[in-house]
Amino acid sequence: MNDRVARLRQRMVASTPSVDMNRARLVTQVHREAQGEPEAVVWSKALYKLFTELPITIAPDELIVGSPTVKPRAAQLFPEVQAGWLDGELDKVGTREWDPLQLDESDKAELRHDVLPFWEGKTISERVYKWCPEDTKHLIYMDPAAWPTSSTGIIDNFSLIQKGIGTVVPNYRKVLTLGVRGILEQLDHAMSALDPTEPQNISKIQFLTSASIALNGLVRLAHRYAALAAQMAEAEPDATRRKELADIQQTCSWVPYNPPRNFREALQSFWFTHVAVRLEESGHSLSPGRFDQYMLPYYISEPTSDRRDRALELIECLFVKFSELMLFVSTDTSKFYTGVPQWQNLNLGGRTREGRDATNELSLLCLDAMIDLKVVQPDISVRIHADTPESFLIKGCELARLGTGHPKFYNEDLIAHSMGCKGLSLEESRDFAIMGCVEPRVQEKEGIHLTGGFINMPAALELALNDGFWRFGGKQVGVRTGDPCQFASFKRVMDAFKEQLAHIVRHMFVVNAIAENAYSDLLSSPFLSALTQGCMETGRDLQHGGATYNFGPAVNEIGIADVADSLAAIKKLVFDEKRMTMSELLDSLARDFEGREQTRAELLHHAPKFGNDDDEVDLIAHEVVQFCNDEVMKYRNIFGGQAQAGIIAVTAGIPFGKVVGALPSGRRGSEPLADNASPYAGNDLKGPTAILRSVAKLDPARLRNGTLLNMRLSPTSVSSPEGLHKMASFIRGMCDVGCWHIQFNVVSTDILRDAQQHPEKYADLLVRVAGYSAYFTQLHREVQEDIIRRTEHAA
Amino acid sequence: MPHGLVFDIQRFSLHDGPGLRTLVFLKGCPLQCWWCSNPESQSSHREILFDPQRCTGCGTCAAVCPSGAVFRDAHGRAVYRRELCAGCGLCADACPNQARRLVGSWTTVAEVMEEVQRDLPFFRRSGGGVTLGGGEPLFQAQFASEILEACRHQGINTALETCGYAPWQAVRDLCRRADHVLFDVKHIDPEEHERLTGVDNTRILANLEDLARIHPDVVVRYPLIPDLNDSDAQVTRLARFLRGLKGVRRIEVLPYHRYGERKYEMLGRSYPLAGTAIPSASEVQHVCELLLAEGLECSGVAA
Repeated sequence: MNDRVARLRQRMVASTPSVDMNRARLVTQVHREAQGEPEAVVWSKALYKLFTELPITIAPDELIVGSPTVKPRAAQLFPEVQAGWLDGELDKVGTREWDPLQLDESDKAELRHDVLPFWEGKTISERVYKWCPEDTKHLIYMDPAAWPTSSTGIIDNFSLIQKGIGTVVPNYRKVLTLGVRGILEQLDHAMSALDPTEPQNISKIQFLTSASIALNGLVRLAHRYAALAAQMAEAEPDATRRKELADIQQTCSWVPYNPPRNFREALQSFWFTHVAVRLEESGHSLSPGRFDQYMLPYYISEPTSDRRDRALELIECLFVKFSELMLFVSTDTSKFYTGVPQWQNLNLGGRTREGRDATNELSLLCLDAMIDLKVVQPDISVRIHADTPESFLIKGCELARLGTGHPKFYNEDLIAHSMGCKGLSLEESRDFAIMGCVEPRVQEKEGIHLTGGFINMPAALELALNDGFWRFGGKQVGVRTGDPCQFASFKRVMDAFKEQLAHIVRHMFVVNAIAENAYSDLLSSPFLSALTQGCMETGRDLQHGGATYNFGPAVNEIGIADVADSLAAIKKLVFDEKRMTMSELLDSLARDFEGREQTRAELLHHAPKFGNDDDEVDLIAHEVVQFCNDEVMKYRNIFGGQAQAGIIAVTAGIPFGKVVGALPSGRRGSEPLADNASPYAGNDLKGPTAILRSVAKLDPARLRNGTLLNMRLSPTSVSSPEGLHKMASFIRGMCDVGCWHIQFNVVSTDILRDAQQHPEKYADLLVRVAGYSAYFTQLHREVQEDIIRRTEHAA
Repeated sequence: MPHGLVFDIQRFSLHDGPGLRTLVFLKGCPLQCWWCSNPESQSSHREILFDPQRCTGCGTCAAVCPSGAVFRDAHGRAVYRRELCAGCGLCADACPNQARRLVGSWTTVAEVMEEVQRDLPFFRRSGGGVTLGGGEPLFQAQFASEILEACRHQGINTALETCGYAPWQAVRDLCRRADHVLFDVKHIDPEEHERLTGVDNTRILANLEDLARIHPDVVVRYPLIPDLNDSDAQVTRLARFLRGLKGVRRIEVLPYHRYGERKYEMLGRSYPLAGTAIPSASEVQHVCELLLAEGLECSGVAA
């Protein structure tokens, strides 16, 4: 990277994460003053106020400008979803163990006085709490009688409800090709077709009005940056910088209102769109999607001389901007999403709508930029298929070898196949975009993913082994499935487990249904809706079902290996070989193996473990995973779309592990559950190819929300050019055997231990946590330990 | 179906031939190298690895042993009389703590093939395949030969790791069936070789010379053991010998490591190289440079 980029990067890395309350203040003002106006219009006015009044700045050296906050790595607040729990967080957010954020005392006081009281009772999480039936409450809330409370850890959809959903790939291409001008014309056209005397048209007119207000606001924001650049240019003594500021002024005067005329304008237009979405939507995973596809025309229109170098500098400036964004989440949620992930997932490579290889010069350039920068965001995703050029895959491996956790590798054709099963056309299926961790979305046409959340699978097993009694919570929350000591066969155990699981899934959807109503009642997303296909045509906000496709909610299955290993151990040791009785087993579990070390050793060493390509346990894993998947797919969301399941744990295995006692897998109580689709840490004895085989047996194509697989490789195994090629063939083999995705931590245990001892030496050590990278030294100790426990593969 | 004594099958091996490979370890070896990192590979009988650190003294093993090789002494501790052990493995199966592990399993060619075929996609993508090692595959030449043949039928690339200590016809017949041969040379001096491995190297070197004439792809592997075979004079002498061999593509230097040390204890044997230091990267580099200077293609392989 050049000196400019190095300085920009350093400024970002050195900044302390903090809270910015400007958004909270302005949005609250608008809502207070606009009481009684149409909901949609109020939301667009709030957005307009943000675009026109938020403090703005252009930092030294910047070429791409615009930010939701003046300080880098500051988090705006979204009281409309956060207020229900924010008060309790304000005093601890600065010092909490997990992902602390600085907050000024005066801001804290203002929030308590002026902001939070207004939103009291009006947020999604409070609505859900109040509307939730009593029996469901016991499965959802740790303390059902007191608000605010945390999730039980049997089900968690709390972490989503508390911070909003997000999870969307905005249609940047529309802003680029039409300009905001073109979209405004479309809105006018749609409006002129609506007769205001027709009662059904009122909400449509309100929606179209709100979209126009939001878009006009964004143009105003760009013009504010243009004016600021002009003003700064006047005062700038350095001629080079003065010229740069003048360029910024010109760029921001032109885009996003007009379609860009060159690559730089395209990047700036893209970035303004992204900032707008980040100000509108509170959630995570607001993803750029297929960046190398929609940006390519602007790149190739540039004169070829030194095109690559100029573009590289601009892309690097943009990537630093991505890394400067921040989210505020609750302490509880931060345990599920440790390391302030944003999942701004930028896709590279893959296939075109016509099925040809889509990898291009820009795909490679984006990898080069990340190899240079090694920053936390955007999340780089690399899409691999049989026609993927080797040079692109190798460059992806070069990036992976740096140990930053970037990129993630995807099995393009398997995911397209999975998309096709949702009833999409072949072209739509191929043109998916990955957002978030590993979730595929229909480009440009899909709404937000609604609530969803996590299911603690081992908790369901524990309920089955205790006749529905939850040990950690000390109460009956499951179904009465009988005394396991009376079970005559393994099938009875499996049936009891399935009954408990179905019960949990059902209650999760009771909450989802309430939450979906709440979102639809309380929120609007006029800006995002203006970009999403279907909304303008139907005159409906995407929060009200305007998008062409509405799949979801997405439910993730946590602790697969724990459940499979446990069930396999029961089958083999209790029923097949009768090495122990059920009551001996249950007694050992109740004592957390205290004084029952022999039993634990039997369970650990004499039963098959998931991740070793052993059908005896892998097929149990498949049965369990697909049973849950089928249960989830029984449900539909408020807009009629089908729910979908996946295996994405983020860091949920740690908090979920805390509420589950000892398991027949040999795991002790409260230890973390297995990571995502991985084997339980240390149980994989047959190496990485066996893991891929085991994971492929889960039938990932059927799990429409995606299957996430982490793997640690020792740095020495990929240090040579030959090692790099072997890694590349390993990834191609991953596609051949039918996995969905893989991502690597290429960092040795020695380094990670040293980083724990001397965090000061490793401030920029990035690691892959789950579907995202984070700075290792800023992670909570438990997450650090979890990463170290993942088996390091060398050969 | 012929069967052989296999003591391990390891997938995802990166350093024993081209591409991603599955290593099939055959038990039994005519050599007893001081530095051997798989001492459990040497005997051609099944045997028990016993890890005292994992033993809790529960006595389960003593209860199941049919030959009185494991019993409890007056203090209740488990005592293991290796000379009485028939290698049946009942104790290993019964032990809840994995303190006892049976090394060696009679395996058919079909069983070996079932396991190695699991990684076919990875072999295809990487140009990898199966590597037979040990032990010494020539010790079970018929079995080894049938595995290589079965692999050829499946289009699986094969490599054979050998110390070359066998009659020439046996070496020739087996090596011909493998796409690559990884041929160990432990020491260039016959007397030193005998002292360190138990056998003279005359036959080994002669076999290597003959093999190099008929096999297109032979890689020589040289374990680099501090103070035993790492002097400049020895390395140069080795290089000059190898230089004249046509089929020898390359020499790989395998730096000494101590990963096998604990297994000696678990076999009730003492470790011949106790206290020996691991060669530094610069020492390995130096040896590679000596070999390069003699015109050999050379690479140091990470342990």
